[in-house]
Amino acid sequence: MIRTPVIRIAANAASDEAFLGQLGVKDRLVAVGGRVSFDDAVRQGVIDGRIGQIGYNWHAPPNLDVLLAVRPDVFLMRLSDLAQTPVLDRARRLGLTVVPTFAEDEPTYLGRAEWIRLHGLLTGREAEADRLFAQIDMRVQALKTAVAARPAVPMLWAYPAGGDRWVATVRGAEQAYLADAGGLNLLLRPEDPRQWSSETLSTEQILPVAAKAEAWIIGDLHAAPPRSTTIERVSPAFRDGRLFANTGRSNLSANAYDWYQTVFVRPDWVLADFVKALHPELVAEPFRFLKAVDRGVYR
Amino acid sequence: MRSLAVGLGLAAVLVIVSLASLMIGQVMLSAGDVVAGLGSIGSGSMESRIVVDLRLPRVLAAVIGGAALGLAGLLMQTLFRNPLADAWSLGLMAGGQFGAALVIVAGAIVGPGFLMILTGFAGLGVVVGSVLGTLGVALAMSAMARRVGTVTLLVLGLMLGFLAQGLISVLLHFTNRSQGRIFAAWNDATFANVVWSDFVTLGPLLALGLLGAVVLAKPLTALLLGDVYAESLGVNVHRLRRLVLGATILLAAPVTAFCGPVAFVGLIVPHLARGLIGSARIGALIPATALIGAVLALAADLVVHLPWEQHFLHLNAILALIGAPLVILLLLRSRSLRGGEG
Repeated sequence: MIRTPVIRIAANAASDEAFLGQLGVKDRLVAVGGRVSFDDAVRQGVIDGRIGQIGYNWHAPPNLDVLLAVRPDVFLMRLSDLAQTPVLDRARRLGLTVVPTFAEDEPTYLGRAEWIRLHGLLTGREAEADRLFAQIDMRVQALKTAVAARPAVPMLWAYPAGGDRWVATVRGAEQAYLADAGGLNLLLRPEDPRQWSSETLSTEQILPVAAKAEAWIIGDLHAAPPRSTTIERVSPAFRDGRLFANTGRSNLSANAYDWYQTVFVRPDWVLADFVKALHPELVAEPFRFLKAVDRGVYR
Repeated sequence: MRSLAVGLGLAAVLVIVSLASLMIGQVMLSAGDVVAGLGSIGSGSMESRIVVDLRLPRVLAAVIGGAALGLAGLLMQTLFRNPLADAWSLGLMAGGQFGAALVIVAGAIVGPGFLMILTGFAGLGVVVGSVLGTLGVALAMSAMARRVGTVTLLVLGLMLGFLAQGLISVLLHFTNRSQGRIFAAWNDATFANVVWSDFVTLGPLLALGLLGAVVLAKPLTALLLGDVYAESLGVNVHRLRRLVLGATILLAAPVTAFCGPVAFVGLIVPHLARGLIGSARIGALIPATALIGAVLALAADLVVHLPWEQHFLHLNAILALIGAPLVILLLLRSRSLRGGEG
C-alpha cells in the first residue's frame, strides 16, 4: 500500500525525474541516479549532497544504503536489467516502498508518455497529469494529420559508431516518430518487440540507401565521427544540408542530455521537431531536441 | 630454399585472402564486380565506392599493419630474448591508448575546436595523441634501457603499461558520453578506420621501421646468443637496444594510432615464422614474419567483415580466439617456458 501524495521520492531513471519535473514536483526528489541530470537544480542538489545518489538503472543496481538513509515515501525503480530483480526484493524486505517503472520500455511513444498518469496518481497531481497527457495526445494527432497529405521524405536516422559501423533506427517508437512526421525510413524493418529499435550496420550497407536519403538524423551523443567521407559524398541530405542531430538539449560539460529525460514525457515536442526537420513549413516553433548540423558534424 | 618456398606460399595465401576480402562483406561482390570497381575509379559507381573507397584501404591497412606489428613483435622478442615480449608487454600500446584518452579528455575540456587546431581536421586528434603516448613510453623505456638489463626492462615495460591503463581509467571517468564513445571507437581496434590519405603518413614511417629491422637483423641475430657474445662480435648492445626500440616504435606506433591497439599479432606471428622457417636467423625471419602478420591480420579482418546477420565481431576478439590458443600451445610445448618440470 502506498499512502499518497508521496512527498519524498527516489528514482533511478532519468525519465522519472522528467515526469516529476513536468508535474512541477521535482523538489520532492530525495535521491536520483547520479550527477548527470539535465535539470540544473536537481544536478546541483546532488552535487551539494542535498539529493542522494543511488546509481542510474543503466549503470548499476540501486544503492540500498543511500535509499535507507534518505527514507523515501516511494522508490521509482526502473528495472533495465532483470539481473537487478533480486535488489528489488531486497529493497522491499528492508521496508522500502518500491514501484517498478517501465515507461522507457513501452513500444509506443505515447505509451511512454502516458506513464505520467502514474506519477500524477502518486504525487496527488492526477488531474494535472491527465490534462497534460491529453494535451500531448492532441498535439501529436494534429501533427500527424498535418503531415498526412504531404509526400513522405526519404530519410535515414543513423549515426556513425566507429570504424565502418553505423547505428541505425529501424523500428519501434523511434521509427514511429519518423513515420508520423512524414518521413520514409530507408532502413525500415518489420516491427518485432524482441528486437532492438536500432541495428548496427556497416558503411557498405548504408551506402546504397545513403544515395537516396534527402534528410538524415546523423548526429547523436554516442556518435564517433567517421574518418571516411565516402557516405558524405553520395547523399543528397549532405549536399542539401538537411542534416540533424538529437543533441539539441545537451549539457556536455555536465554530461547531461535531455534526450534521455524529457523526450519520454513530451513526445509532442519530439514529433514537432521531426516534422520541422522534414516539413519545415508545418512547424513554426524552434527546434527543441533536434538541431541542424553542418556537414562533418556528428553531435 | 625453405625460406623461398615458405615466402611464395605465404604470398599466394595473401593474394587469395586479399581477393576474398575485396569480394566478401555485407555487400557480396563477384570477382568481376571487384575488377569493374577497380577499373572505374572516380566513376561514382557503387562497386567502385565499395571496393576502392571502403575495402581496398582496409585491406591494405590490414596487410601493412599486420606485417608491421609482426615485425615489431619479432624485434621485441629478439631484443628481450623473451618469447612473450611485444609492443603490448612493453607498454607501448598502453602508452598509445593513454595518449588517445588524454587528447579526448583535453578535447572535452577545451572543446572540439582544440582537436581541429591540433590536427587540421577532426578525428585525427586521437591519432596524434596515440603517437605521442607511444613515443612517451618508448622514450622512458629508451632512457631506462641504458641502466637496466633486458629482463628488468621487460618488467618495467609491463609496469608502465599497467600505469598507463590505470591513468586511462581515471581519465575516462571524467569524459562525457560523446568523448567516451570516440575513445571506445578507436580502442576497439579496426583496420576500417584507415582512409587513403592516411597512407601518406603510414607508408614512410612503416618503411623506415622495416628498413631499421633489416639493417639491425645481423646484430640482433648475434644478440640471440647473449649480450657478452654480441659484444665480442663488436655489437654495441646499449646502442642496439635503443635502435631496436626506435624501429619498434616506427613499426607499432603508426599502426596503433590509425587502427587502434591491435592485440596478439606481435606476440604470435614471430613464433609462427620461426616454426615455418625452422631458423632463428632474423634476416630469414623478417620476410616470413611480415607475410604471416599480413595474412593473420587480414584473415581476422575478413572474419570480422563476414556478412553476419546483425552481428559485428571485434577484431581483437577474433585475434584473441586465434592468438590465445596458440600462445597456450606454445607455453605447453616449450620446455624452457613450461618451467617447473625436469
